Amino acid sequence: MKSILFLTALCTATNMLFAQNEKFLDPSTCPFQFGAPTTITKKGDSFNHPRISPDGTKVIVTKTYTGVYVIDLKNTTPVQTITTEHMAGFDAKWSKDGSEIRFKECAKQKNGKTTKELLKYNIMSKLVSNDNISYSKTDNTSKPREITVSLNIKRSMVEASDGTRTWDITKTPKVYYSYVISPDQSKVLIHENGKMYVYAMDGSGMLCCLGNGHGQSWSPDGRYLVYFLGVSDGNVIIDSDIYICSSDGSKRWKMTNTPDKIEMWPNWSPQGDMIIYDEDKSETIEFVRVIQK
Amino acid sequence: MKKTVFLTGLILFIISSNAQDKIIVIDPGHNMDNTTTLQPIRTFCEVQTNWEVANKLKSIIETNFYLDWLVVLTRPDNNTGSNVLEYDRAAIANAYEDQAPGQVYFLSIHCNGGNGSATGTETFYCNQKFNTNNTLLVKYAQKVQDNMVDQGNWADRSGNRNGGVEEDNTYLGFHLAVLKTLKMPGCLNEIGFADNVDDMLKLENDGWRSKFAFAYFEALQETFGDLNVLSYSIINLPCFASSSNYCKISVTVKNITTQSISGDIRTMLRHFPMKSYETPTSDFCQLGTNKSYFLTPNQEQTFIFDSNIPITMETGMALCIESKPWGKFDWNKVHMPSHRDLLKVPLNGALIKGVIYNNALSPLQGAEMWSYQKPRLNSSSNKVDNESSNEISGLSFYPDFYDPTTCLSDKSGKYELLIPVDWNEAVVSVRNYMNFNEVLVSPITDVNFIHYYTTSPIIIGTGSGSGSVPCGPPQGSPGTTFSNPKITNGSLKTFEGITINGERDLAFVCKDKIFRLGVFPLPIHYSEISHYDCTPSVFNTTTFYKIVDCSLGIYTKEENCHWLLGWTCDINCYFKYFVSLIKCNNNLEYTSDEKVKWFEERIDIDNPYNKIGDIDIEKVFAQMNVVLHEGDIYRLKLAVLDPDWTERSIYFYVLSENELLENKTLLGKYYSANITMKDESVSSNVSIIASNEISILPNTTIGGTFEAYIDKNILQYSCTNQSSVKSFNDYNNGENDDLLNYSSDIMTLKFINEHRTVTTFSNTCSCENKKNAYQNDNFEIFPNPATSTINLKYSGDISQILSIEILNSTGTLMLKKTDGFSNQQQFNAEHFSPGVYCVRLVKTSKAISKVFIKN
Repeated sequence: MKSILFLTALCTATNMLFAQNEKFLDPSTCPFQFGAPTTITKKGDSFNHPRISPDGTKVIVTKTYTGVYVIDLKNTTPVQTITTEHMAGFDAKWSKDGSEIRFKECAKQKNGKTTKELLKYNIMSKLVSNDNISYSKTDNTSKPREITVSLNIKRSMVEASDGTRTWDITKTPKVYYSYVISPDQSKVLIHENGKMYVYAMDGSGMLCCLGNGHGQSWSPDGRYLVYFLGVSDGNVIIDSDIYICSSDGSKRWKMTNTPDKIEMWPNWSPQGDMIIYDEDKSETIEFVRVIQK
Repeated sequence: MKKTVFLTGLILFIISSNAQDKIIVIDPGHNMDNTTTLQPIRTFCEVQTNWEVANKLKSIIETNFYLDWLVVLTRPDNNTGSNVLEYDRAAIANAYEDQAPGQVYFLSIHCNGGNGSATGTETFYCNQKFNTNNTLLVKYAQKVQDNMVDQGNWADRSGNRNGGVEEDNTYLGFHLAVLKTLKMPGCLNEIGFADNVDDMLKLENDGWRSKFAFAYFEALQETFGDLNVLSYSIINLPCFASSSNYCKISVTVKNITTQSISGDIRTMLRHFPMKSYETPTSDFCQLGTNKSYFLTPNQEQTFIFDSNIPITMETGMALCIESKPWGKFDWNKVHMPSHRDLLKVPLNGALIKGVIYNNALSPLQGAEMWSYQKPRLNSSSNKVDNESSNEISGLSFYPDFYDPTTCLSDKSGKYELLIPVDWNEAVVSVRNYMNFNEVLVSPITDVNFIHYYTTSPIIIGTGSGSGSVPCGPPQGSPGTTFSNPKITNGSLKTFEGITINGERDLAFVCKDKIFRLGVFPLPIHYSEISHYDCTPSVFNTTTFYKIVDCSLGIYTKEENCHWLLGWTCDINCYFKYFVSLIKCNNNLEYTSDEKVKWFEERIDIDNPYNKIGDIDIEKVFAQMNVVLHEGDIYRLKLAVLDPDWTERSIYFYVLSENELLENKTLLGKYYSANITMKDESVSSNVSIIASNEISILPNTTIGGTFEAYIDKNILQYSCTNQSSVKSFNDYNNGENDDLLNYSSDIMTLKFINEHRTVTTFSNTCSCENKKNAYQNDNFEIFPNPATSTINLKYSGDISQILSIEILNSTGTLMLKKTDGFSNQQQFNAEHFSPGVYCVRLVKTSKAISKVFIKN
């Protein structure tokens, strides 16, 4: 209990420090070198929320949840349309072998009925079907079970489950949201009150606070995160850049510094060699090559 | 067998498909971090309004017994530094939607900005992700807009532009970030314009903020309620205090869901609000029998509910329409539009919340709680006047009954009673087997919280009226049985609570000492915890701790008169607490260093008091080497970990037993058991407050504003005017209503109640109405607009004022006054540039702001 409270206090203090001073390290100290941005979609196509396939050759995008599309990075035309349903495309993700895309269609009225579906799209057969079993099912049941993280809304706590048991990740009831599990499933990043916190997946508590940030994605080795920091005028996001930080919160660097662009929703490729994101001002998808120094 | 399985499955399907809990995510809009801070006054107005209205809405939903809705705010506080980006606010709602698909609804509350003259309310929705003309989404937004126009009394900006609410991109040319990525129906309402002076005055008004919140509440309820009541009509109107009226009501309901629903519907006459722990079996006053329904989407059906027993209506009763799906045990409220319309029950009555804690070991316990209006005395007979008005002759609310059969020894009972605001005075009674105790609540204000602790076993006696008489007062009417408050020195088991503008004023008598306690729960200052392993050296007022819902009261043990500070928490309390003591002067300014102590005593959450923490105050003072003397005032601050730090402050006034005020100029407030005034010259603004007796001897000169009262209820007083004796009736809780109409150069007033006598003598007495003095905790600015000077008239207690500030429209401090306050002051504004200025009156408990225009 003491350690948790101490960490909370420490993180709050750290957080305030970052929020107030916006301290970022010199780019020369960043362990990564970033290439020039490459635009892969046409201006005004309005694609966003890109997610790179396991082999790094394809990207899922949505149009603010009014459809799901696949872009082939080796051949940007034509864009493959999976669905144009409204309210479709939330939480789109690739299966581990890249053969399927899973996404959600959220609650909506359809033929007089309220529906909410988990769907999957097979790359080979090009068919969409229901995937209502669970996101947590692994492709090979002989492997260790995949851990899922969810919000217990009655208790206002974040819980983890491996299919056989459920345990608490957070320690106190609060308004938590946006959970992203690290590649090795040892940690989970959880948002609370606009700030990012890293928790141990084993339930031992909070590890560190990363400060303000949104739309985060882990590096393949789990040592870094990429995220964006937006500035709002109260109505819309008027500026946003992408940042990298170490997963223990000790270091952070600016990846983009472009007042004329609004870069958001970054995604680190499974190979670690690319970060893809959407640029909201021109409504395009861009990526940069990442080279570890 | 197959049939049984099928039916079971059908029932289960119905149950599951009718799981109706809703989650309302409320976004209080901008806070001070947003970049819209172009005009500080405007932004401050918007931030405060958003936050206050959001929390009022949260409170309305959470205290509504019939709704099992979960409320989530998109940020935990209104502090600078806790801004949550619009996308994150949507992400919060989406996280709940993931777990409860189709049950989450979103409302973003904002205030508008324009050119200073624009006015009105407008509502936006984002249709980007939805199919065109998503009916539920548009209906929701339209309902929010309509309710804000009607109940908020705003100009209909959206309607005036295009006849209805607007899709954001259509009007604004962009999608609002907070709505853009929502997975569920959501809308954004701009209440009014925070840069329009007229709108701003309305936005900053607490009463209007309550109306805005209620407008939202009804929009949510009427849009997302499961079974919408289209209309109701009363065929036979039930009457007050009559035993021969039958009630007949026609109710038309409509299924607004997208699937067929089936169940039962019933109508009940209940008190409002209902007790929080009601069980499904505790029904009473049902009009007729249950009706069954099966409704396809959008289908309507009309039912007639006809009572088959005479109904006696009482103030505070409400018509409730309830339904439950087939196979479901609990009755849920459908929609209750009638509780105000039917009986005109004022919603702004005093909500009395009582908690009875049971520390007995016996499992046979229980208690009941009710309130009644204090009987009015006949002017000639000095007896309860039953003929003057039925409405004030001791009407009782039906007792809130704590079921003894389900009560364990360590349980507490929570009670809620609504007392109409037109009851100027009420008595809340708590009764158990052994005895009863009463807590006098007067004057009635918006919210009083009364926590009652008893050391006696709580066991229900017979004839308690716990349901045997439909809708009537309990057997053994408290108006006759419990006519005399049991308040005596040395055995006090109750305390009085008066909530005045958010502050609570407590008086407390124990043994031969009299204590007055001023508790100031507002404003709540807190910061994030910065130390965990607290030691006294880090325990100070600048790094204090977070407050959660925790009450602080004082109570005594009957026999040995220990006075204890007790607190209750909604969740288990932790085992340690801090106490801070600091000495104050009459103006509550600190005059000594802070004494702090970390108390290691364990608070056993399993003790019979059940989640009550207490500390022996005498022990605390002794351990902190503080010796109390007459006239001392101490601020005591308590912090408890439960598990977040909770802080409460309480002020202790150690009163002298007898105070002789002789040959000196009086100023401020004087408290004592007995006060004698002799040869005085009262300058102005003097309050004489005694618990027993006030004597103003002849030849005492009194001038200016003078107020003298004992802080208990006065049952009767009489006046000797030279050779004649005139009797007065006290209709108004000791407020000298008759006295105000009585003029005489020389008169002697004699106040009498059960326990004490007060004699006052005055030749130019101007007794200010105590109630009004407290309620008028506001100030006026005139003239407005101003040209050269502005006058500030304040009717509250000037000793509470810390400073008066004038800020210009950019937030620059133009003028600040920190002393020499009076109730009417003049400021020179001649050198101010033309524009809008904000006057802030900063008090010890809060700040009040007004806006004026300099031409």
